[in-house]
Amino acid sequence: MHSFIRSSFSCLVLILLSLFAIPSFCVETYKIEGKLVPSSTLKDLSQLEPTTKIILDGGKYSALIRKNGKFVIDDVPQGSYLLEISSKKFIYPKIRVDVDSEGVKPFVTIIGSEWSNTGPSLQYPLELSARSTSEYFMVRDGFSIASLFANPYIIMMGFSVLLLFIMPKMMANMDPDALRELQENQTQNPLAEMPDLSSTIANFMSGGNNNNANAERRRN
Amino acid sequence: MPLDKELLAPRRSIRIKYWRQVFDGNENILAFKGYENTAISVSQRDNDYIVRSWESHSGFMLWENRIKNVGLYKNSNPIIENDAPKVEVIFATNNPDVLILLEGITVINLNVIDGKQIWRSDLADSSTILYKLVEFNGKVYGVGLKKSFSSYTIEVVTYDISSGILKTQLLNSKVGNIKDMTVLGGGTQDGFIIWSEGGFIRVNRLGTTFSEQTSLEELYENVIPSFGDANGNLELLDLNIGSRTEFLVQVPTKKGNTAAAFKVDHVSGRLVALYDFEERSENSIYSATFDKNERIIISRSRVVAENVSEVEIIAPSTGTILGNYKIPYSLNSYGNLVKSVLDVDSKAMGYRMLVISADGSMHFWKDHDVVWKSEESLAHTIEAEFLDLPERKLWTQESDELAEQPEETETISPLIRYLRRVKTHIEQLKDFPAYLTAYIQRLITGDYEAEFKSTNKSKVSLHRDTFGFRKLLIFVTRTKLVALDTINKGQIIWSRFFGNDVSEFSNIFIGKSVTRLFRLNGLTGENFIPAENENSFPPELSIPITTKHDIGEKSLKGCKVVKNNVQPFDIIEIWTLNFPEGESIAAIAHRPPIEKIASLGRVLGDRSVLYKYLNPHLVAIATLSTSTSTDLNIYLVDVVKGSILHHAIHENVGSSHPVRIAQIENSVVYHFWSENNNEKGYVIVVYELYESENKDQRFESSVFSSFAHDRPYVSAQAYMFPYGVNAIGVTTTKHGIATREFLFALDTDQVFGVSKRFLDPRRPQHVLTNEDKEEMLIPYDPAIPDNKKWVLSYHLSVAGIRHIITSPALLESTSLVLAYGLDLWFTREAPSKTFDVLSEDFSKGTLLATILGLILSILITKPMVRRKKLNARWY
Repeated sequence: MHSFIRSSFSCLVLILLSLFAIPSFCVETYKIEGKLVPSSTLKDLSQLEPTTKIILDGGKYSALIRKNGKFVIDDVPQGSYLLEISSKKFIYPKIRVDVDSEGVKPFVTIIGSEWSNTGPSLQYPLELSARSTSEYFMVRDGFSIASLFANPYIIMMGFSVLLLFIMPKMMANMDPDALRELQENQTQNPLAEMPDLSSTIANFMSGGNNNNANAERRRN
Repeated sequence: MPLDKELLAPRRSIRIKYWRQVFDGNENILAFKGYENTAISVSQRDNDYIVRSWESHSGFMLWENRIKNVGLYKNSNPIIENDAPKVEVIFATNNPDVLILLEGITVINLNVIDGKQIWRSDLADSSTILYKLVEFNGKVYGVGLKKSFSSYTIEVVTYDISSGILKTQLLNSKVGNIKDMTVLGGGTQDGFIIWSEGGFIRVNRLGTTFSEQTSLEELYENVIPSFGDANGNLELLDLNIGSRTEFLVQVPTKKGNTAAAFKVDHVSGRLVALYDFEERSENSIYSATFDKNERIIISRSRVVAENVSEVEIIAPSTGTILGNYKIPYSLNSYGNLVKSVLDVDSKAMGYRMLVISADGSMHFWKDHDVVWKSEESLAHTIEAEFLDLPERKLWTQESDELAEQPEETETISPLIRYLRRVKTHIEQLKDFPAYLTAYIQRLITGDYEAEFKSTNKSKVSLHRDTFGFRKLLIFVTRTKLVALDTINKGQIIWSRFFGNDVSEFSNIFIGKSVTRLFRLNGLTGENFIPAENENSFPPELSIPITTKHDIGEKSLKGCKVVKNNVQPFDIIEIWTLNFPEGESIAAIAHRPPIEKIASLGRVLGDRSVLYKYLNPHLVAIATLSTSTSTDLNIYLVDVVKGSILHHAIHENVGSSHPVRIAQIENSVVYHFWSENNNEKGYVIVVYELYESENKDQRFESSVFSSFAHDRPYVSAQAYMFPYGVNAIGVTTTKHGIATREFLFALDTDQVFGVSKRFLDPRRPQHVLTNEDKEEMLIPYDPAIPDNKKWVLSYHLSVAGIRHIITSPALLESTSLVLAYGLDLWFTREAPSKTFDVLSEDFSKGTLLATILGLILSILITKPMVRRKKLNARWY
């Protein structure tokens, strides 16, 4: 900052000394121009806030956008800059702008990547379109019968209730032989051989044998 | 249209802000004027002047023109002291041109449609300064003063509207002060210069050299009787009513002051006296407008008593008083009247007036009423504090019973006491219906603040609410104290103007250069009267404090307050820390004075503990050095003895964005703009300070002392931050258990909250191990995500935030947040979600529907089950 002031001060002295010299002679500055253009997210430029600002290097240079979306940043010396569009409603990509004696060269940049890696270059004057709108709010899920029935627990419950009604009817309509077969199968079901958790714990506590317990249970 | 230093906002009489543009902090608005459906603003940035045109209904900028090298030829020593207008903006009558006078020497003509410069003229003669521009008949006149031997001579510079300078001409005149001269007219009529010289008031028609004169003595004797008591110099007041030639002359008298309205006759160019306002003992302010018959109407307003101000509406041409209104106005809260703008209703009788007070507040008056008032001084808040409210008093009879002394109890028989209790309960019963309705209402709406949102503004009882969300916010502005309620959208509870006693406040509680100390009752704003035996201040203080720690200083000084025999207190310097050559302080962070820390250590995934370094005297200082490249130095200093505990350097730090730093518990967070080749952008760094690098290891001594040679272990991590930051705050909760959240005031005028879990130096840079998962760490990422859901203020614009302060509520989950600067913004934030209250998302409807559904299904299935059981018995 100090060196900047000093240089502008020396500029001033130079101007005073050589009143007839061209003022732009001491520091060569450039103009960064561009335009915000409508896109699918921003259909009409009047949706933009009037406070939308173009910021260079964290506020070293800045400009407001005009009504037609155009912006001009004056008096930018040579260097490499980060250009941001400060808007509350829309998200814009961040742009790296290199200013040298050949002119202004913009590139795409990603925050967190190394500055020495330039991204793909962009056309100049800049034409920027909004990437997306800013979503500040989470959608609150309200109460609806449909969402209630979409709940897996409710579906499970409903299904079991349904079975409660249908099963006896199915059993009643079954062939008596088939029914007997089914019952026999059920007794041989390997699941029945599985140790029961509660009795296991009970046995463990009392120091009993769980085979015995199972055998007793089967006897019952 | 109000005009603040950095703010541009049109406002109509109804309280709606249409649009607003906030200028950068280093850009000052100098002039602002409307033209058809646009507005022109002139502002200054560094040495350049910037002229902008705004569309008045939308606030969009239409064009911008930078004017450089203004005042290059200016004389370095200003020839005329006091408050000369620096910038003057007028619009040409027949051309779409705007003429701007800058620094008193440069006149610029711009096209109002596209901002292109038509001509520019710089005065070569450095001994003249122009004050006013007037345009008529295709010519522009710049009226200024030229220094001669003992006084000033009026100089008129004439410009051609389409080509520029024509000629300069000196008037035969002698003016002592700029207040003795005024310029009227222009536009559709001729312009006149009026000045007082010796015992005369002289009038010159612009473009001529001849001047008419009127003797003051003659005026005093015959025309304006009240001027007979004059006791001082005349003052010419410009009424700012476009091309009209009426003006006021004000004169102090022995008992107060008086004023008279005059007019310059267009044809003869002579002075005509219109009306004598007569003497008043109070200071008056005047404003003027004209009604639909082109008749001039002047208002005179003044504060007549502590709580009343008076407005007189006068039509000087006919000499009639159209109205005399008394308006409630608190002198104690707002100070004197400073400026007013009058508007007369088209229906003749009524009037509307915008008044600005000494404290900067705006009042809108209509007839006998105050339509609205606005506490604009809050934009200049120096400091703010939360004030806890007392609990609501117990119902008196009940508390009488509770406070009963044992001796008293013995004298009353149990039966009587029982009857008294029953009586109390019966009496309380009459409040039951109100309680019941409030309870049901609260249950349905979930709004615990309804009882405080009283419509009756005059009677607000000050007590705490259920969750401690209600507090008072005390603001210290430059010359004023204001207390706001956090509920009721920041309703003003009290305000007190100190402008007459205090030139400027510097701090609320810790006086830096305060010559007088005020002690006020926080609930009412009245002077606090301490109880008889109470000592207002502790008799002895020997805590070390740091002073002179202002931004921009090159050293840090540690001082100690000790009791002195002569004066009550004395400050003794104990150490000085000089930073290396070229470094100056950019930001300072202290630990908050009251801080609840839930845990002394941080429990890691393997159940071992890292002990936090909790030094209450730790101050974090950021300095910027400008020797070769800009370096940012971070110092952690123990202010008891001034020793540096930790030092870090960041090279190539841009000075274009301010450095911000904050401290809480054992963490330090700072934010800056980095110009490194690797990382160009905003960087945020977080430190965590531990007693040791090793787990389960503490300092040897069981007592913490700044004089022990223990240095903390600093663990740090840096991230790229998506935004520029203007202030950093941290949430505080009742017990400090809830995860902290850092709050950032962004360049985009929003408040952004980042959880401590993201700003954690222990975020691993490798794939998460089981221990990391146990510790609930998030893997390291170089960038802090730009998550718009983290924006606390969402799309609202909270402009120019300079500080964010927080205060705990009674709920552990919730912290009260106040961001202030140009705007004030208050919210409640739950950094770990509202774990101790039902969330707002909780659907009471679902719960009720489920219960109803269950009841219904029981009703349906009950007979079915009974029938089945019965059947089972039969078969």
